[in-house]
Amino acid sequence: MGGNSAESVPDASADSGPDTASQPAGNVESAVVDVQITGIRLSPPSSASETTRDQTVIQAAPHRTGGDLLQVVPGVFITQHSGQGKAYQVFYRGFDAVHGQDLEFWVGGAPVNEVSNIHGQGYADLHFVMPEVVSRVTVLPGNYSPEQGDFAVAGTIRYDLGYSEPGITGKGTYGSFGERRVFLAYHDPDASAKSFAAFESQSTDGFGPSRAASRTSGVAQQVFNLGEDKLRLLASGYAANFDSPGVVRLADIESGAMGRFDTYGVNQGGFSSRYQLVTEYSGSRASSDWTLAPYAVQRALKLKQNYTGYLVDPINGDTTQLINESTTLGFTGRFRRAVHWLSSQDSIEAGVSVRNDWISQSQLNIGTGNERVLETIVDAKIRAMDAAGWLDVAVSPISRLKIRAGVRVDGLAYHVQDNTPAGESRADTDPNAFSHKLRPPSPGGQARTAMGSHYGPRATIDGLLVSGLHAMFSYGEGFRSPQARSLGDGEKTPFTTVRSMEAGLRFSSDVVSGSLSAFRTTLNGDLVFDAATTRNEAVPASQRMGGALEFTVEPVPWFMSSGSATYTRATFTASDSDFNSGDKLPYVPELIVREDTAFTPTLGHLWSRVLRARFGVALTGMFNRPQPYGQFGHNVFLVDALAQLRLQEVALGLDVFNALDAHWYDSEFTYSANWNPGAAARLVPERYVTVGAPRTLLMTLSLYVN
Amino acid sequence: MSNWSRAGTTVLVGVLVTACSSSDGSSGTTGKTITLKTNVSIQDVLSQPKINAKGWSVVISQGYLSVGPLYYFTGDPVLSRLTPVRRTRQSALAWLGDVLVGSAHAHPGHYIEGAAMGQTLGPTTIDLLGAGIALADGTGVSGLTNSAKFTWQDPATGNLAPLLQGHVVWTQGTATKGDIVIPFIAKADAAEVVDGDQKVEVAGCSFGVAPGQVGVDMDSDGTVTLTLVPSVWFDQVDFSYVAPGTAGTPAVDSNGVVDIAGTLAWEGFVRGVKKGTAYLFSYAK
Amino acid sequence: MTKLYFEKGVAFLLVLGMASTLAAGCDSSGTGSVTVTTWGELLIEDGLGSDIFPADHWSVKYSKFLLVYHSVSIADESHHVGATLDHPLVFDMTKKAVGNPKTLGTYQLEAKPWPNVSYQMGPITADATPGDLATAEDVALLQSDQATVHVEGTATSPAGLQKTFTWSFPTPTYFEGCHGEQDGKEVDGVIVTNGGTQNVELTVHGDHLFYDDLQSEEAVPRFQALADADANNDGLITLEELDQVPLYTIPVEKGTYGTGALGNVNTLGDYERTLSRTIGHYRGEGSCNSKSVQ
Repeated sequence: MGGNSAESVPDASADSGPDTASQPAGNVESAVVDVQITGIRLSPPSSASETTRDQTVIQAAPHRTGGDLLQVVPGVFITQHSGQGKAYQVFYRGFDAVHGQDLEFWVGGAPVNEVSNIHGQGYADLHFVMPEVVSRVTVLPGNYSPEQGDFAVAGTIRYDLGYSEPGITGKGTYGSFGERRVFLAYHDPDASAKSFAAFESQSTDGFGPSRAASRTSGVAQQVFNLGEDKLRLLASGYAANFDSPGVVRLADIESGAMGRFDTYGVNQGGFSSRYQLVTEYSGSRASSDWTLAPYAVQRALKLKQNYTGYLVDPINGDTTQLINESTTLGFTGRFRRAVHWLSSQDSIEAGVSVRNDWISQSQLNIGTGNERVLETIVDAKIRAMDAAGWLDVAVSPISRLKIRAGVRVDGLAYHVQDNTPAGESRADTDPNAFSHKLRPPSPGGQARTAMGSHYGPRATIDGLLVSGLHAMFSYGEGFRSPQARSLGDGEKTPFTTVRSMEAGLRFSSDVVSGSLSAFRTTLNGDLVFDAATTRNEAVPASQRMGGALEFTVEPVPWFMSSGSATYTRATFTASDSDFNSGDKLPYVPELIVREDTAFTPTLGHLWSRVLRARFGVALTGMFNRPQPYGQFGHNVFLVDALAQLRLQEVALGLDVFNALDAHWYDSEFTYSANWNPGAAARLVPERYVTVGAPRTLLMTLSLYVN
Repeated sequence: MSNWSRAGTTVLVGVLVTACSSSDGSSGTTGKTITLKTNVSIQDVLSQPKINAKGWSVVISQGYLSVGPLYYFTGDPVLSRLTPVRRTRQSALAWLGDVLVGSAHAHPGHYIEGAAMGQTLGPTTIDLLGAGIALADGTGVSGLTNSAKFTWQDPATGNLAPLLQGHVVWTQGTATKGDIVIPFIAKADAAEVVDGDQKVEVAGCSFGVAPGQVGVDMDSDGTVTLTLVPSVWFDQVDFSYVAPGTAGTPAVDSNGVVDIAGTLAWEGFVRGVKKGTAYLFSYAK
Repeated sequence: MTKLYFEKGVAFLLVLGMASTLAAGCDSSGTGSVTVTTWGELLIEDGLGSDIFPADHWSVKYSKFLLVYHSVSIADESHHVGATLDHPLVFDMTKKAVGNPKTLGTYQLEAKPWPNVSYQMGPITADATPGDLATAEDVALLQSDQATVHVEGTATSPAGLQKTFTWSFPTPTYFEGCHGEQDGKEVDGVIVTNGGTQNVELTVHGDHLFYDDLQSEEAVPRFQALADADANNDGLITLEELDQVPLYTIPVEKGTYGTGALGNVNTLGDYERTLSRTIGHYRGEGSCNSKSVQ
């Protein structure tokens, strides 16, 4: 859930420590002024590696969209395999979360994951968030907090929104490959940073053919103080249109048969839009606090894609059009009360969340080149509901020990109306077309319903070793819901279930904070949705074991360094006909490193105005990316940098992405495709890649009016 | 980046990159890519007489075959023994939300190829009375392989292509039964050897440890051998349809050779050319 | 203090009760009923009209369509078998069931997916018994011919010419990995729901004995080439007569009779024996992998 932050507490540190409770002011000597501090109690961290990244870290390096910000999350690596506007593919702690199936995302209190999205379960598109308006990124690895629900298999990532630059900000950006951007924002300096509005409009010609894209978005958030309570309203809208170069055969690039940025000339791309409204009503009293946050989200996604060329249909090609439109209504509510069972720090929390999705989706086979509709593969309407309740108890039997235990129960219900005739989506067909005509399948329109529930215990033990150093152990059981269309009528909903545990150290001081942890996550057996047959194909049980180190150092106000290194070994623990126990999961990178460093010195004064500089650099490394068949993908090491001079009301900055102009591959896959119809088909799996962007320079002129 | 964090990262990366690779350089995922040398051999000694099912003794004096790409699959050959078809996902596509290799269900005669395990793409023309030749190396991935697909190259390529005279298979020989001796030419074009799906291929041939066997684990680099059995082409050919004096027999040429095209003898020949039992694939390390 | 202990106790019981009740409940899925039936569709019961033979407009009426189900198996994802047939059962698919369909068995299974459904036609064995509406004589006929499938019927040409046929097919066939439509969705095997009832129908396609190609998607039922095989013109087409007709002698206007890559299908008799192994289907137009039994 979003918005769970204490405004009055500086959040530069990753260690939130014990609850920061409201301290009722007491009457003291008449010379002292009464001070009353109000705010919502911070939840105690659920694991050693739970962390936040505030604006100091977020703004150290250049970022284009809210999706890019994921790179500041320790252990995350993102790739783009289908155009600027499509959701990133996210890798985290040994999970290939695809577009979000294993990571729960919340922005400003609204869920981002899309249930039963036709392209991928849990599809999460963060491009609607402007990076300037993200005040904090909170990461909950694993599933140790009862607040974490569906899709929190690898963890949960929350964006809090805020903009602290007082007055009005206007920016104009121009750069490589025709990149243009306009940004406008305002924030009342007398209000909290959570009250602001912002707008952007961006377009680019792309660094190669079929890479043009544009987007526009607006967001406004306002916080109203209602005595002891607060009301936060958030509204935003976003739309993007983008071309996609698709994937290309690595051998074609390496042999020089095609230029590095060339494509196979097949029209691909998409459109994405999102509108959301969040109202969060919260209150804090002497011994309790509560929130109620209803939300509404409307999403639309259209994708046109072709990954295999002419493999399946040598004449018309394998282009498909996917459309997914959804309306999501829901709310989260929680009530926490301080209790005095074993100590004065104890608390108990109860929470309820409900989410209802109305989804319509379709998939068409499209003629490659002539764009004619050849066949309807999917035409379905889905209603999905997830209602959850949880209890979370935190007690301190001794002053140095806190034990947190809770349980979360989710009940999920599905109603699917599939208008495609049964059997049309099958990859295999009886060769007799005449036999099919004699026995036509059900015309479609039948409705199927299914329900299921998941029970997930969660626990954390937090021991204070010495001041600023905690040892923590966490355990949790989470789940991911299945694609609704895979369910049979009356079927007890099958979940992908996960067990996580972590042990680590968490440290914080005035200068440095961070954590060192070891983790293990097991999946009893994953389900991969086979879009061709609408069945869930089982993948053997697997585990991820690894360690993570992350830190943030701020020795002086003008220097910040934040880094992380996460190593994960992801292997199968059972065998089937395709995978052997002990073998590694393909595609999941093993080592992710990230370093963000920022220098923000004040250079002096000019014309009675303060002259400040900002220099930032980010290093991103991804190593050991296993491919199928015992192969390795290419490692990635990228350097991004920014430099800005600001003379109070005016600033001029330069962002450089891929400063070393590394030749790198964004996505890499191994599978069969045929991009030469008429020539001998290449049926054996080969390496297909999307090429990473070359060095890109963007110049930004900013004006500030206060 | 501070000195200590830079040094630490370098050491960490170096150690972990070294530790993560196996001793053979494999990433540790299931399977591996393999190189497949490819040979073609001819099982029959066509210059020696062989009696077919219709009682004709057939000797071939010249014969050429256009060979196109060859593919090897997990699917069982048509009408195989009782073993399950191995269903293989294309892992990448599952993650891209677009799996193509779904479940496979076959009728006798209806071949489902399954996942591709290997291929040899270089076309050529084969002398059927020669000693067999080596084709260009093929590529593959390790795993259980059960069947193969033979294709014809049209137009034919290779040094011997002109000898095919525009056809994909061309043979000349003599059929003898009792006192009847029939010099003949039997040939076929690409359009005449298409299968039921109108493809210029024979799909569902056996692939095993030896010609005619089904199922072999290609677990390393090795050699694939295509064993041609041209006697299968002639096994059901009743040359009485082209015997001298038979109604409908085509005229012989100046050398006394009859081209059996268009006759029921030729129909038997073409059906034989399309039988998977004439193209046997095997793998050895 | 009393209030504090009471609070703690209530909270503890709340958490414990919620956790234990739901932990217990979550693992229980209940059971449902699965009835395995068989049906030859109206095509076998009522006949195949001339519209079923679009190329030559013959029509066919079966008088007998016997087959033996040697085994049936319903297994889960781990291939743990939940239900099997007790012993081989013989059915005459021409007999119309009144009320309940012809049934092989009814089973109570755990409510979950059972994706591995398979069955085997043939061989006929000494322990075979008549299924619903079949007779001991039907069993004896299959046993004497050592047949898996035995068909008898009459075909009528557009001009009114009639031919009868009597064919016994010995080859057993194993049908595995069956999938078909359940509630408008393709399902592997069967999904059993808590308290629900599922009918798993082994469907027999009587038109499959007449298709004119084993591989082509364009195959259609034909009878003319079969009628022409009546060499002694006695009005009865036997398998022995079909064995005398090489496929290459059939002109293409009477059917392509393509055999794919099969190497041992050379005559109409071979062809019919191969077609007899394609009649087994699942839940209507659903299908299975058909394999030789050795």
